[in-house]
Amino acid sequence: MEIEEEAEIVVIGAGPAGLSASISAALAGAKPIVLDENLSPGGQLFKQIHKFFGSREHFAGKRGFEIGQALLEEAKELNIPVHLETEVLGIFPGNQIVCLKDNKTFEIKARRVILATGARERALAFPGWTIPGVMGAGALQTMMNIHRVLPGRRILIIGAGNVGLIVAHQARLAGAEVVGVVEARSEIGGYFVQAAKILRMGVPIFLNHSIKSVYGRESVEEAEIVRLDECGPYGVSGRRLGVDVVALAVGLLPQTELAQQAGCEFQYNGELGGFIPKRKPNMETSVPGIYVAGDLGGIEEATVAIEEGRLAGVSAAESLGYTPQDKEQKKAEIKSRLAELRYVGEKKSLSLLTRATTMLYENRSPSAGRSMSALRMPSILRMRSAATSRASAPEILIECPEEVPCNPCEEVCPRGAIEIGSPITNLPRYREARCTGCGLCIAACPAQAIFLIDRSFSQGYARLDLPYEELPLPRKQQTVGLLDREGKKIARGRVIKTRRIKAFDKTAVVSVAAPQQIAHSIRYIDCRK
Amino acid sequence: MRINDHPILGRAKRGRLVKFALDGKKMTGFEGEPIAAALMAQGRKSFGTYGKRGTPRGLFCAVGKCTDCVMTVDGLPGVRTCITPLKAGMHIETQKGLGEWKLKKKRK
Repeated sequence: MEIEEEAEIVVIGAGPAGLSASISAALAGAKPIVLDENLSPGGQLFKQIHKFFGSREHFAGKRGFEIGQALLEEAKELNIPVHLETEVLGIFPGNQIVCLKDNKTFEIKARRVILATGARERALAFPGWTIPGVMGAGALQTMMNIHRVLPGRRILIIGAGNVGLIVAHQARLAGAEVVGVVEARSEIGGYFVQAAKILRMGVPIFLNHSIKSVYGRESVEEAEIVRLDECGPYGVSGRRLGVDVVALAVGLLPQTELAQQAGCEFQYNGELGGFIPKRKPNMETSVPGIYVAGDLGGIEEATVAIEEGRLAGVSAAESLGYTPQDKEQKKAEIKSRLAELRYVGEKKSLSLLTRATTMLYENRSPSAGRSMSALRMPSILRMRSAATSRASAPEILIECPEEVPCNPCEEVCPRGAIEIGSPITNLPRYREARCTGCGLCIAACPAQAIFLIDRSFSQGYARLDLPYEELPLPRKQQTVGLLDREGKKIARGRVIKTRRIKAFDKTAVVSVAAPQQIAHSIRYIDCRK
Repeated sequence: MRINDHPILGRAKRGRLVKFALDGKKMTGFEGEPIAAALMAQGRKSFGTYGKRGTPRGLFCAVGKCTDCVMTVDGLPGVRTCITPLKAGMHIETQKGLGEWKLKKKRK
C-alpha cells in the first residue's frame, strides 16, 4: 500500500488506543492514517485471552483478542489505512514525520499527530537473569497465545500485579505447571479476584519473597527464591525450585521516546509509570497538534486506552474544523466513562495501607509448603448466610470484594437478580428471591468469582456449579478432586454435567455433586487422575 | 512444545511445514512463524552467546525490542528471530557476540 505524503491525522501505534483514536477521528469526518512497526496490528490486545472488566461500552466480558478484532473491523469499514512494518524515526517541527519501511526512509507531513506508542516491559536484574528461559511475562504471553509455543513446562512468575497473575492463569490454560508467583511486597499488586483464580488452581503466591538467583548452563534449570524481611534478603538461604522458565512481570514503562524527541513537556508520576508527557484534558500535549493516548501517557488498563484514544481522536478532528453536532455530548460521555474506570484506581491507592493490614493473605515460612498464601476471605463476602430462608432454592456466592469497574453479571442476568447500578465500581448486590439458578452469571463474570450451590440436590449432597476453562473438560460421571480457595483438595466429587454453550464464550460451567457440609468452600476441581 | 489445542483459542492455525537449517543441521518449522518460535517448539532456547562473557542468551522480550534473540540468518548477523518469519530453506546460525557478515559481496 502506497503511503500518503500528507495526512490530516497520523496515528502512531495500532493498539487499542491508536485504533480507537483513528476510528473516532474518522467518525467525526477526518481522514486519519495509522502507522505501526509490527507485523500485525492490535498491539497487545491479541495476546489477552481473558475476559475484560468494564461495562458494555468498554467491551466488558469480551476477551482481549475479540476486542482487537472488533476494533480492526471497525477501522476497516471506515477505510482507515493501517500501514504495518512502518517505524517512525522522529517527529520534526511542523509535524514532519520521518518513517522507515523496507529499509527506506520517507516523510509524511501531518496536520495532527496522535501518539499511541504504548509501553514496554520493565526488566529485573539478578544473578542468572541472562540465561535463556528468563523472559518478560509479555514474552511468555506472546509465545503462548500468538505463536502457540510453550517455552517451558514449569514456570515461575516474578511479580503479583495484574500482569503476573493473569499470565500465571494463561500459562495454566496453555498446559504448563505454574510453580508459583513471587511478590516482594507484603500484598499483591493486582486485583484480589485475579489472585483468587490462580490460588484455587493450587498456584501459590509467595508474598515477601524475591528472586535471588537463576541457575542453568544452556537454559534455566533452577530458580532460588528468598524471603525478605526488614533487613532485606541477605544472609538468608533461599529455597530452590526446579523450573525451566522464569517470567518477569515487574511493571511496564511508557514508551515516550517519540514524545520526548518531539519536544513535549514531561512530568513525573510514579503511579502511572514514571516520566510521562503532560497533556490537556483533550489529550493534547504541550506541542500544538501532538496528542497522546494510552499507556505512553501513563500505565493503565486497555479499556482506559480505548477511551483515551476516542477522546484524542475527537479532539484532533475538532481542531481541524470537523464539528459533528454531538461532539460535546460525545466528549462528555467519554470523560464520564473514563472517570468511572479510574474511580477504583484512586480509591485503591488511598486504601493501600488499610488493605495491607486487614485483608486477605497471611504469610507463613517457606517450609509451610504450597499453602503459603492462605487466602482469608472477609466473612461479609458471603452473599448469603447459611441460615437464611429458602433452603431448597439455589443460592449464588459472589466473591467480589474489591471495587472493580465491572458489571457483566448485572447485564447478563435476565431477571435482575444481581444489581450493581452506578457507579459500576459498586459491589454486586444479590437479590435472592429473583434468582432462578440459571448460571449465566457464572460464565459471564470475567473474574470467575461467581458460584452456585443447590442444596436440594440430594440427600447429603449439594450441586455446585463453577466456572472452568482448562482442558480437558471434565466428563459426566467423572470423579474429580474438589479444591478449596487455596487449591487444597478437601474431598472428591462426581461431575453431574459440563455446559459449554456459545453464550458462555468458552468458559465451561461444571456441575459437581459435593458433600453438603463443605459445598460452600469448594472453588475448583482437579480433573487429573 | 507446541500448543495445538487451547481451551480459549481453539486449534492452532499454522503455515505449511518447511525445512530449514540450524548450524547446518536439518530442521522443520511452520512457514511464517517467527524463527524463535520454530526453535523453541523443538526445545532450543539458547540462540547465541554474549560477546563479553560468552554465556548463552535467548528470547527475552519476543517483540523485537531487546535484541537478545539475534542470530545469523542467511549470512546476515543480528537478525531478531522473534519477529522474523521463518521461510523455507533458511540458513540459521547461532551467533557469537555481534557475529560476522557472511553475505556474498555484490559486484559493483
